[in-house]
Amino acid sequence: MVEPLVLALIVFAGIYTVMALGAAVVGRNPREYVVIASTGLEILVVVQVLIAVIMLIGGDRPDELGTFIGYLVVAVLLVPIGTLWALAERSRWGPAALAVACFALLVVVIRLDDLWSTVGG
Amino acid sequence: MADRRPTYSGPGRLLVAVYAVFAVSASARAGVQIVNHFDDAPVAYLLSAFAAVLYIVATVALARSGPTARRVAFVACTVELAGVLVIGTASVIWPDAFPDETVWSAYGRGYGFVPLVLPVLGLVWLRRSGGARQRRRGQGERV
Repeated sequence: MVEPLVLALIVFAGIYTVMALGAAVVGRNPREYVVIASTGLEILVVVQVLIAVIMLIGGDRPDELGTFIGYLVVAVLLVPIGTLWALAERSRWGPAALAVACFALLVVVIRLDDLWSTVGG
Repeated sequence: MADRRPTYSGPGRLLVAVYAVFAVSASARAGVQIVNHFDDAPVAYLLSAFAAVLYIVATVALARSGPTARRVAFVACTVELAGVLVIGTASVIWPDAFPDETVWSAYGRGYGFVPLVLPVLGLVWLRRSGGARQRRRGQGERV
């Protein structure tokens, strides 16, 4: 895991969650912006996951390797699935569902960073 | 029939999203518990796995349309609600019987009581989204 990237992911996912919730509360569903923001977020996720995979191949081992790999897989899938699921809805409930996926990603990234902290320790 | 709302639309969009997150996290947790230290608390871990399966079934059923999916979702939510109430109560009365936490221990306190709230919301949503037809029939009988 790369700390600046982890931080960027946490900030991005956090802001995105809040904005999606805000859109749901005021009853908006700006689907075109969702496509752009989700794409940007997913690029960050993929870069971080690829780096983590390369570091794993390079010999770094977090304590709970199986759990770590599970979280990596979930991290990659969350935003695309959540976004597709949300885009199918034209009402305010689209962004509401998206907020769930973004918040879940936030938790997953924090857990990944947590698990990675055991590397070399 | 046509005015029955699919359970995945509107508020259901959010409900299915939360159910999906629960289905994945509960399955993963139960899987890790069973693989790593099943002998520590076999009953608790089997219960966790059972709950995980219910969440998966409820997620899929709510995300689909049609009367069968609706019925399956209803059963899954009902069993979930019964599970969280029975196991929740049992875990409070006999804490020794549950050496490790299940999703349903203490009414799902470890998960922000979401396990208690989800099946209730699921049942309410199933009723409301399928209610148009029932209401109309009710009025028809009155006339």
